[in-house]
Amino acid sequence: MSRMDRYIGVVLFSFGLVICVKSFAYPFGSLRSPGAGFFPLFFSFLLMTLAMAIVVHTFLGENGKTTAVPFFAEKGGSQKVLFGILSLLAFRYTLPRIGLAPTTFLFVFFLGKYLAHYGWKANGALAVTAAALSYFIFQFLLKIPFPTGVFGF
Amino acid sequence: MDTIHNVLFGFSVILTPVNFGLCFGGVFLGTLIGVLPGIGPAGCIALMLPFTFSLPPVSAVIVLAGIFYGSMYGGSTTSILVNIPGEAASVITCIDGYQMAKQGRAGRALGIAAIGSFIAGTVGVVLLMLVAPPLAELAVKFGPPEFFALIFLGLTMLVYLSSGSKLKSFTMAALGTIIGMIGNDVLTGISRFTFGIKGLYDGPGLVPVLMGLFGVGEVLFNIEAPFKRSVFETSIRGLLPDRRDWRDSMKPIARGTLLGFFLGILPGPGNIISTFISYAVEKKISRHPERFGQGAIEGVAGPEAANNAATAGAFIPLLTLGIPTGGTMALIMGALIIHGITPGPLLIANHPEVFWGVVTSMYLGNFILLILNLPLVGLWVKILKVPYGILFPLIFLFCIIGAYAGNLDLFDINVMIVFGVIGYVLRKTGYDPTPLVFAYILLPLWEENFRQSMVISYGDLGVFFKNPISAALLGAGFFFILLNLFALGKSKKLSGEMGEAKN
Repeated sequence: MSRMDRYIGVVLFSFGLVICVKSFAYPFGSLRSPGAGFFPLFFSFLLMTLAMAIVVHTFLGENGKTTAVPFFAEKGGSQKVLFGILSLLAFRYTLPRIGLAPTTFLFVFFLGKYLAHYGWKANGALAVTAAALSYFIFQFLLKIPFPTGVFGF
Repeated sequence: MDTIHNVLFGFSVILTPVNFGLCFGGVFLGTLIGVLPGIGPAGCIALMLPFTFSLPPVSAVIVLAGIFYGSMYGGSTTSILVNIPGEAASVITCIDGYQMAKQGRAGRALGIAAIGSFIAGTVGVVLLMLVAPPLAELAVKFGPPEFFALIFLGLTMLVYLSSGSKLKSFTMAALGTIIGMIGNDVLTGISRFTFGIKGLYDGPGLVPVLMGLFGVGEVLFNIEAPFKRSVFETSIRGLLPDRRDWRDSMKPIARGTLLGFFLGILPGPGNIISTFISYAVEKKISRHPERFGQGAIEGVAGPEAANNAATAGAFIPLLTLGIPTGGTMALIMGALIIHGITPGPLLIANHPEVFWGVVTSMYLGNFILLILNLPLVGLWVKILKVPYGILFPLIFLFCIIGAYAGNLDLFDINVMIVFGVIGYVLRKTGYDPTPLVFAYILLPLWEENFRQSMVISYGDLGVFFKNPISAALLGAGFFFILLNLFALGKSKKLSGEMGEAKN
């Protein structure tokens, strides 16, 4: 087990604790008629127990020594992943403002430029193609009602 | 005689232009996904789910099933030519398949993989057709205690057979059950764990969760590393095996088919496990085991047959009992539920067009795959050269659109991103998301059956043990828990001994 497992164990234990506390707000019922809080309470305890077992295992295994495996093995890996996540969030909050096709253009362009390191022309061509296809397939053919934004399409 | 009538009925369902076209589309897409490393069948099915909403249920399942077994075919192409498995069940094919390619026998390797897969897939479908109806008749006798016990067994067995640490897998299962409780309680309608967020009243949503875990999480994992992939440059010739290849391959294909089918029925990654076991069996019984790892055709034929037969076997518990054996089957189950069809013992009786339509589509799909995989090998090789830098933004785009298209709710994109980050972290840290997905999808059914069992037995927990079927299933489930604890104890002892040896 690695040191990361210790942190994950703590996070899962905390999550289980929150669920456990919240479970008391729901009717527990009885064995004759289990209520909405019955399963959540049981499984939150189970999750806390298992999470604690993971944490304890990281102390007991290999004489308490954990492997310090770096989470990001590749140089620049953390930036790439963070950029990917931020791009997704940017898409989500840009979509209702400018619509699907322009959002797709910006999304594909910036991902291609900063993660795949393609040139401006190649990125531009790919982004335009993706935007046109996404509009044609999803809005025109499949008629999925996306927000239209300021451009009206 | 009934079976023949049913098969003919199934063909009448599948041989319409729309369903035939969808079957073709599904297997083509599945092969493409199998060829391209970076997204597996689960991710592709999750991506395609929203686009099947407008289709009739049988058509939707035909497409998704086609993607599943199509990807088994496609994965072998990448394993043989690039030494990178296109999907997890093709890992073993890399060992001897790539060696065959290096020796100028890539065509033979691809040919035997395709033909072996066709034979195994077809036999697997015949067995599915014969085994499923009697099993469904037995399962009609199941009540809430039996279903509760069956899901419990499925979960414990899945944890035991999943990759990596058993403790981590159990934790994932517990986490999945809790996530499954978010939203309105099935029996009382009380909102649980929504924290006032309107978008969570119906739960996080199956599609955004799956898109996040399998689609976004996978891509985030892949973009971390440099995008480099070299395709083995060789001319592909001689796709048909010669007499000697046939002689060496027929028995491994036969053994792989039976092994794969029965392992596919069990919860867990049957299509992956069956390939490893098939390879081990062939190596064990071979007169020349030293040839394995050096380009032995048996090392390709057996495992490829096993993984295709396993996909047919995996449909049995799903269609007859309503129990998915793994993440991909869970997705197909989700698709059926979204279409208002509950897989289980009554599926064959209430929706024969779904069951027999899907079964006969698998016959047809296997045939289409043989045609696709042999002459179109050159096309797959070209596709392998499409840079991942072009693919991954498109995969992201499909995930976002798929997550939104279900409920037309932008909040579902947020859910997808959250689960994408979770899926990425799980992959990085060796936590298998399959038990999480399994538990998440089955939790409503599991909880409902438990609570119903308690109501009908007036709170007597003995109801699970008084009935022989549920007692046997629960007993088997506890047996797997003991096996998990034993495996955990063994790994601790081993790590302790290693620690002492180092000192």
